[in-house]
Amino acid sequence: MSDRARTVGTDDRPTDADRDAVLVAEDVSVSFTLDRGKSDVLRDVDLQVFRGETLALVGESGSGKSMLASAFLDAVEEPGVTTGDVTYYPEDGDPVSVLEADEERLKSLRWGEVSMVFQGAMSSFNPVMTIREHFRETLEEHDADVRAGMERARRILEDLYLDPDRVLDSHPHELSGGMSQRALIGLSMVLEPEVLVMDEPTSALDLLMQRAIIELLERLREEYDLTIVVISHDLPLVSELADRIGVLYAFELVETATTDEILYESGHPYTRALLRTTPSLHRPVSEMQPIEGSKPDPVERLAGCSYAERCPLADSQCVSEDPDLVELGPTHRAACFHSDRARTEITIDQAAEVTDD
Amino acid sequence: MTDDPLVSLDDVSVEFTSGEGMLDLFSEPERVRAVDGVSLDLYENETVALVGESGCGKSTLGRTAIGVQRPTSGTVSFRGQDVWAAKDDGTGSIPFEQIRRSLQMIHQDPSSSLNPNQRILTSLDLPVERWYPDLTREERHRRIYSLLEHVGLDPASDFANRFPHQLSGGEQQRVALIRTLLINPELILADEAISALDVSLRVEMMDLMLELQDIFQTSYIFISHNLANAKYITEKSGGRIAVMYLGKVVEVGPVSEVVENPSHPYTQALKWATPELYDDESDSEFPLRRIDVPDPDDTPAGCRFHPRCGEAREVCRAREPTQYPVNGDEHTTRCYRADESHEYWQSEELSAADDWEVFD
Repeated sequence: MSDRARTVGTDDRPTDADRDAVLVAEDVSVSFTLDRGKSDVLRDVDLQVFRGETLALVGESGSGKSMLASAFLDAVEEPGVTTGDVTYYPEDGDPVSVLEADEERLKSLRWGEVSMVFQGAMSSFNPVMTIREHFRETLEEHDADVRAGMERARRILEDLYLDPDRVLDSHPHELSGGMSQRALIGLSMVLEPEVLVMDEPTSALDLLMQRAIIELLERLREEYDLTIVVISHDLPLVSELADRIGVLYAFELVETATTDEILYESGHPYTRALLRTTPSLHRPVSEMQPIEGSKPDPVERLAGCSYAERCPLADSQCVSEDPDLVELGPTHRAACFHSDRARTEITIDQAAEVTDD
Repeated sequence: MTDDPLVSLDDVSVEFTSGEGMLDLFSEPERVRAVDGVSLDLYENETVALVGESGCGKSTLGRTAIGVQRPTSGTVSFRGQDVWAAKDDGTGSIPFEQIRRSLQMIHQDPSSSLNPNQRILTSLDLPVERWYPDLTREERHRRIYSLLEHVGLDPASDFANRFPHQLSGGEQQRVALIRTLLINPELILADEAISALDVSLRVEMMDLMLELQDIFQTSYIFISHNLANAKYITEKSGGRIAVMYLGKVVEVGPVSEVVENPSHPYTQALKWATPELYDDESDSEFPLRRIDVPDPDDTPAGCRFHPRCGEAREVCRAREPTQYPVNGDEHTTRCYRADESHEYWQSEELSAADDWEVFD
């Protein structure tokens, strides 16, 4: 992404309003009923995924980012309850209301149209089956042409820099972590989905493998015309790949914008704090600041902004009123009453360190 | 920092046997050399980060340095005393018990070091009682409360009475850290100790480790697969980074040298792979011939990095490089390219069959 424009919001790229959405979440919430009361693990999320883009959903553990990914496929596990609307718009054909679709429709949607890669390949594969059997079973279950599908599988595996013969004959445990994660990505693509939703696809892997997979995803997206939604806690890593980023904090979407807008003009204090706290090879260590305080409790919902307790800009309005996502620009929304102040008062040193020697 | 090392590893190797499963009943068990001839000195109050991919031997080397893993060959000394000689025949100037107390570790998963059925106070009290039997209960508790408060677990009496599951991951890791520090060790092995924490808590945890280093005068071996974190903690404390690849330390030096002026192509690749938020010159060419690490039980001949190295030549396949100085004696690398007059520069580049992106 070295050719990414540094100027933001001034060019003539399409605005969110005139782009073609492939997945749309409207007012989506997920809740669990616990002994202590009802617990929201995702609150009132409005989000569009545009056709052909790579969207990263970034947040810390327990922010609700994985719930949002599952909600896109109505795959939230019991006893979680998903409410709101999720609509899938196929390239050809009628829109599908995901949360109302029957089992049959969901089954074809989940692999054939919107495919999901969960974190940890080892737990997604069946340990007693070879990789080949996983591919065959997936093809057969969806009544696909197995012969043509296996040909496609070999091609995809090669594109992932795997030796198809060796990998297909292996059991999951016979592959390294990086190999099995790539094989899982290959499996998720064998039915030629339009959208890949990936939950922490690289987080268990080493740096070099993470970066390699990010590079591979970039190539795969072009070659197979994919839309990618990637969920991650690792903002620097996904910023290499993503066109747009959505930031989640305490079960809410607090900011969405293009990657450059997030990096250079973010309007939410949490996003800015996250950028500041990220260790870097280039920036001086003195610039890195921890985020004070801790995350709010999922059960005791606060009246105002959920970040107010930790936010250096919070005032009485923030404590009593919950800010909505407001437009900061044609491709930029943030849920903060003080976006302007956030930009001037929470500074982020982007410059590389100047060394004396 | 004094001139005498606190812990000294001299030509240390650690071998494990693998493939002892049912299917391998009739074959010779294979020997895997997890650590291969490593020499490394650690000084008082020093932070050394061990960086490398999983399976490179960094955890085994760390465990060897704190006397938990016995080396197959080579010696580990604590203040000049051979650690395993002290254990085996009780000879020497420093008793093994004292060495054990002086070398401690914190784990990646803090909950594994805290008994889930014990209150925090009990978990913290037991090791102090064991190592400092002369202290009264009141004195022990006073130390514990004061440290809890110091690391921000305030009010201490509230946190002390909780069970581990009533603490967040970050709070558990702070408890694990002070549990180790209460024993007053001289070296702490922190094995991926911040990797499981949320990004927003990592800097805070590293800052806390360094603050407590000042108070307790401890050294750290900080193991991480993340070069940016390794840089953060070593730069703030003026420490060193050692890069490991398949059992060998391939580059070691002061953090500024290793990060700003990496000499080994593997270190350069790690640096390339470290994502940067504000990187204008991000070069997206994958710098390695191969994505995957070779099997550790089938170490390549010559330089063990040559099958993946973008700079490898015939001489790299033929012979294993020794250590070369890069910028003074402090910064060394196991790569011929550091030696301007080495035959490497006349050696032929690897043939087309070994070219980029060849499957094995």
